[in-house]
Amino acid sequence: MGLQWCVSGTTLQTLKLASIPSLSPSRFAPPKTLTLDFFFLSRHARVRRPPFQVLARALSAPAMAFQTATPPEEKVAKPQWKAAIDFKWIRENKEAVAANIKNRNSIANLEAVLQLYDQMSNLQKEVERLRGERNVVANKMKGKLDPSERQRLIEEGKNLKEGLVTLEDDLLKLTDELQQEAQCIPNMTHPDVPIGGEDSSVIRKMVGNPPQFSFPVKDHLQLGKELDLFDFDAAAEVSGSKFYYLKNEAVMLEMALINWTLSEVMKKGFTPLTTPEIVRSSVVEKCGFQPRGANTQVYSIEDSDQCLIGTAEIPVGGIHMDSILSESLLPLKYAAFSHCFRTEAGAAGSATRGLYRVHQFSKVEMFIFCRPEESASYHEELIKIEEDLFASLGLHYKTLDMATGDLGAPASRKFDVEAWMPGLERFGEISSASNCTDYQSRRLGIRYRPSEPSSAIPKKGKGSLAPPKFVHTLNATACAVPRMIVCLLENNQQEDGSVIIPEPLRPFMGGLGSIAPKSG
Amino acid sequence: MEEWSADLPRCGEPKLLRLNILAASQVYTVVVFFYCSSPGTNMRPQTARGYTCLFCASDLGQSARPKKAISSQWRANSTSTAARPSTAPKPVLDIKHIARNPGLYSQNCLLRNYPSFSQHPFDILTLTQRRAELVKQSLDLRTKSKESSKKIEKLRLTERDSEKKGMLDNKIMAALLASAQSAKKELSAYTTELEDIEAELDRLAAGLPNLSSVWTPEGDEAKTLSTYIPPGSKLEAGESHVDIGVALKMLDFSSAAQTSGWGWYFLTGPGALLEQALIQFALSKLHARGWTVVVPPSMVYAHIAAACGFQPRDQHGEHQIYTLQQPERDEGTKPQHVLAATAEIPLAGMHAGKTFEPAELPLKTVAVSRCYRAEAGARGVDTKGLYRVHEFTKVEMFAWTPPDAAADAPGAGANFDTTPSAAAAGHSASTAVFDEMVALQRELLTALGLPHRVLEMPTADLGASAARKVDIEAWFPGRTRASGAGWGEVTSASVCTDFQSRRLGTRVRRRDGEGLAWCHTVNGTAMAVPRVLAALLENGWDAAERRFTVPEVLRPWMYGVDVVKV
Repeated sequence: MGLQWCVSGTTLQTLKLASIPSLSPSRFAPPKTLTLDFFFLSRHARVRRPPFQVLARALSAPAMAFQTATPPEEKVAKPQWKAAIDFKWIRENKEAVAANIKNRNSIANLEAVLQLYDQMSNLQKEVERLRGERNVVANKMKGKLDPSERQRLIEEGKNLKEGLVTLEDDLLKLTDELQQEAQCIPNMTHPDVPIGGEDSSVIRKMVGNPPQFSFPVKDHLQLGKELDLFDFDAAAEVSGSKFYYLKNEAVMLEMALINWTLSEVMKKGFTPLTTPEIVRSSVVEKCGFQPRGANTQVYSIEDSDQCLIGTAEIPVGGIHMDSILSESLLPLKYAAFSHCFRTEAGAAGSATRGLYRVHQFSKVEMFIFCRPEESASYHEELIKIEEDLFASLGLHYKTLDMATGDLGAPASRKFDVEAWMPGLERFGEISSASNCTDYQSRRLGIRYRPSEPSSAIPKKGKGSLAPPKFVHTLNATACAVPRMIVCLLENNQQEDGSVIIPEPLRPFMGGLGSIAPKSG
Repeated sequence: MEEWSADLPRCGEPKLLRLNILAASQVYTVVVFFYCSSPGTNMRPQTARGYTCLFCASDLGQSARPKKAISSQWRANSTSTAARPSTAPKPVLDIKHIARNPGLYSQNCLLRNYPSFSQHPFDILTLTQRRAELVKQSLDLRTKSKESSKKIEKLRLTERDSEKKGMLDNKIMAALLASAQSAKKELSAYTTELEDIEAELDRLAAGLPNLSSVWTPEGDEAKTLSTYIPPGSKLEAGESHVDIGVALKMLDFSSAAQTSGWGWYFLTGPGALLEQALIQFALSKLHARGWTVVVPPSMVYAHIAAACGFQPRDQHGEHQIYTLQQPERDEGTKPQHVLAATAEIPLAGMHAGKTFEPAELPLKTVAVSRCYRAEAGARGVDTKGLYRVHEFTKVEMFAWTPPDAAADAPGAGANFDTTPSAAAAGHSASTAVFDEMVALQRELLTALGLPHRVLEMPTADLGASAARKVDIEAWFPGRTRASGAGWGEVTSASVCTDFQSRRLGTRVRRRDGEGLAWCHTVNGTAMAVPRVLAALLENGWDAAERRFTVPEVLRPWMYGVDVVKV
């Protein structure tokens, strides 16, 4: 359902990254651990961004170190966390990354990322060089020395130290800037995804036919009014527009949809979950959503760093944050129930009436953590589960392979299911299944350790432990309640004003077969 | 003090009253005279806790005529800085009754643990007296200025008609004009002061807690009404649900601490199923009894929450409810949203501004919703596990009743029976629904096999809106070690009389067709999922076999999971 909150241009995005640890601790890392082999670029290479004038100045005049500690012109928001982005891979696949950015209408600036990366690696080398020199000076001072020579060495050591402090400070800033830029790069796209805008999406499957009615068709708002199922007026007073109360059989329908869906996906090996609905905003960011800004879809809690979730994908993605899973645990399949909250900023049009686009709704969301080589087949499994669920409810629907312009930054590929809505007289999105490959796991820090060592030659000492790899994540809507209610009411309406309940839901509604107008 | 007490409005026999008043951090004992009409009334204010004032027997909640706004300005002053939509219900508070019984309300503040508000009823009295003076003075002024303008007019006419033009006494004219001018100034000063007084009266009255019922024990000691222990079970100590739930992979606190913080949790596997089963169990029971089922919004306007007695911070400054950050474009133009701490808020708001026909009441609804609580809670045993959490699912009952005897009682319609004896005999409609709620709560807990006890809660434990509250505590074997007492609250039921309906504008037409009355509202927990889940885990845990048995009544929704083993 409407998971379009990340127009790829305005969202956070990622990159493939190296399995090297985050660069932030480099200030404390011993020089010898740095074995990055980058091209040498002039360390005075200019980045287009003003903050780096600070850097240039510091390089040429170490004495200004204290001034640069808190540069007044600093505007770059320091990222709270770092994505494990594979910069080396990006540079080696520059053309492919650039094409991908273009296909997705992303605003990511690849040139800036590459420049920053080179600058950062050069600066890192410079830092190493200075550290080495300082060690040399320190070693020289260990022996017996002529006092004047000692004094000279002390002076030299002092100068080196001052220069080093400045450079390390610059390195940290540069790393932050690089993260900021690089996080905008969207996930690489699956090669089979059609390139282009919404119109380029390809129909994978079409099931059923639009129902034929021999009487004037009502939309779900009218049906709901006649059957006393919703109260939008009271909700407008209490909470505002696009909020609603469900009443009577609509409540039973919601409960039935949730419980039927949970019981069905449990049969497919999914573990049911109830998730927190308030999360730290960093988790929202790491899943690829933008919690701030004028057009954010995310509600924030005042005076805190927490947000309301827009989908259970966020807390479930976070459940294994910063951990290394054992391979035998994979795949992990979850079916999470939660309420979802969306500001729906900028949403307008005919489909904004009634239950179609609302600020709060209940949803069952499927989520899979798996090995990279299996994610494509699990993506197929997820879409198959969705299609089976909708088919058994008797819906007329089509499945789309969404084009590049319609993908959120985290998705490598996305399948949407659109069902026929007689009230709208068109198809409307009811679910979505995305393969995010390692986009989210590189941000959330979720890896697994392959049980078989990948390299033929085991390293000494550490035994045969294989290096950890990033898992792939997939998410898919199992049931977004309000849009299902729209579909069920509009498609199953009868001439006498009643609505037939699909067979599979009846046991979950105490055997109720239809919703009839209340007498009197 | 003696002086102003003599000015109290008279409505009957004089009564002597001894009061402790907190002012400037000092407790003063003050003797106050009251004039009261009901002969049998006890003088001590704390006994005056029925739905009718025992002091002056005035009908609380009887006159529900829509209040005319004095001016738009005082409304703007009386609300917080956040914008209110023009359609927002306007609170209509019984300021007259407070001014008539300041001692009663003051003592009520002390008993309800609102000591800093205990002076407010006396401030209200003083302000209403000043208001009366001002109204009188401005009337006098108006009369005077009318007279002088008549005189001026007359003089002008005389001058025009007279042949002695220019012979008019300019001095008299100037004096008249000057006095008219000053009267106008004075009048506008009075008007300004009146507006300020109205705003202040409204603010002070809105902050006062509801009066307490005749059933409510004074102080902070609850009264145990009954205790239920399932046959064959004993109140014993046992393992905590945290250890059990984690061992059974039903609860995950550490992942939630990462994603959200302390006080959050994931329910996993059978834990998540158990939540759905508890919801379905409670809803199906109530639906079968004819309660209207509802799913309300969880985000509500701040002024609706405030009308229900929920402020972002409580009277002790504790952060109670979550406020959502407003998008910049909405600041100052749209009302602020908060997260509902209980479905009571959106349910009470569902009929804001509505006038019910007598036949529509009692209206009984039951809602399932997610509830969000900002307060961290007391440190110690409660902060661990599911007992005190930042969000949880709850099934909540909510009802609107007429303020009088049950609607279907023949002959009761003509007179609103608000005498305390009628209420005590259980004849009031809100008491009848309240009793039904408590009976349902006991029935649900008994069906789940949980040992529990029913408590009549004391004044100090009542929220601002409640006149009466009954809590049910279940036995938590895991809570015995740390707190010394294994009982923990699992449900609560409150009668709010007209506290919420006065603030939300919910009225009922009198059956005799003469005017309107304020509805009474009643709310009660049907199922607070995490606490009941914790109690079930601790009571249904077989430590020797390391397994948890799902209660029989929940199994229809557990898809074959009867027992969960380590």
